[in-house]
Amino acid sequence: MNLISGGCVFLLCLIASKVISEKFQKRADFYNGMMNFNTTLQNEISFKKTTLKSLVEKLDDNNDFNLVIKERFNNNLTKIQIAYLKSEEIVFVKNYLSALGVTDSQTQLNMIKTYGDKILEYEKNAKDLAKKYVYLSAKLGFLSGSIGLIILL
Amino acid sequence: MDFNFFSNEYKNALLKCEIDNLYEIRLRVGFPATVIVGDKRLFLSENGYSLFSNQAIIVKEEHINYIVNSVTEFSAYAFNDRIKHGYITTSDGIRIGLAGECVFEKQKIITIKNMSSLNIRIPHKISGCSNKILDYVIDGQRVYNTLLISPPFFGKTTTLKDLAENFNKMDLGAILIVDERGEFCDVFGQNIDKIEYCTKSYAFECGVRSLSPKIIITDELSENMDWLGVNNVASCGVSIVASCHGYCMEDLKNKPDLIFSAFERFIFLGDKNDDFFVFDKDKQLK
Repeated sequence: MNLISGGCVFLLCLIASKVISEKFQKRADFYNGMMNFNTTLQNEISFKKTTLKSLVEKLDDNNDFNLVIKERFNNNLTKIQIAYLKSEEIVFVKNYLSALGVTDSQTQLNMIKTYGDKILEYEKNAKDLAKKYVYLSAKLGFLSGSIGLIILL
Repeated sequence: MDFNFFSNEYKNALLKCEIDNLYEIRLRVGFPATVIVGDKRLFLSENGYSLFSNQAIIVKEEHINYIVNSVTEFSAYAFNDRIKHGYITTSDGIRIGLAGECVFEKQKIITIKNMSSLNIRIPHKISGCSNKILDYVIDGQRVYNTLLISPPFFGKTTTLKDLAENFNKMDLGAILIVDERGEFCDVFGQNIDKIEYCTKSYAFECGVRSLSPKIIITDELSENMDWLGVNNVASCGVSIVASCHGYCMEDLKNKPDLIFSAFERFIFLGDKNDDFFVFDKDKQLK
């Protein structure tokens, strides 16, 4: 009986650590997707003036930012909720999405540059946190699970 | 015809309409949506065409914005060169004229904002509509430098499109279509090259140099540069078939003198299908 309970506690700790680490990883991936899109958009506007719709259609669904920007084209900007972003980050993302495509190319390029600096900052921060906490939470999850197992045995 | 750039309210209304004779949709903020069907002006209601304005859909600003956003694919930067010239064109070649507040900087228009009216012109492909003028445009294997003249809405573009297809079928040589507004998007052929969305002067210069056309077809000559370009093309031995706005010979006299050195045939299109007049530089031929 104790072995089963210990096993459950061990598993729960691992799952909890996985959930926590995923939050950090997803945030890093989100900003990575946003940064990639911003860079692609900058290149496309500077040269081919490809429309946003064409760019967005080419994005895969493996990144949360890509899913969010697809929602923007369904006029669902108000519905955008991303659990792992802070409220000020959600406002920032919404402002970015609202500003896309509404001005001439030069103004768009200026906007992309300004937002790009901030996205880079968020991306760096998210990557640092992910690097720090993903490994840490896995270790802590394993450790606390093991402690729980030992106590219960 | 793809009407996906309309919001659902308009799409559903248009689905209930016979669109073969639909030529124009006019949307003005705060007023009923009107349509031109055949030669009649009607209103667009939720149930299709209507004779009564009180049944019509009242145009709202968001309807206009929806259309503009859909056509520009939420990318004003990609369409601004056209927007500032007062139009956008859908992928189907539907030309949408824009009215709103012009924004100026350094005495140049940089965009149009707060759009308040749209004039949506539905293009038609009438196969064989240029047959009636063909004898006046072609002499054996040579195409005369020809200018089609009429007021707006008399079928200049439709006639030019059909002429291009006729020339293509007759295998008269390479045909270059200079399509400044994307209205020839449904014209294709083994002898047809197209330069789209650029100024006529650029297309004339680059087209003649790099594509070696035998015939150039273009729509709506208006600016001085256009007339100068036409004159240069004609002097290179390339035949040119073009159109411009006007009603009678007197109207042409108000245009640059170059018009008479470049063109050999002047065809005035009438409002009825078979109605047209042909002049050369000296006399009336029909």
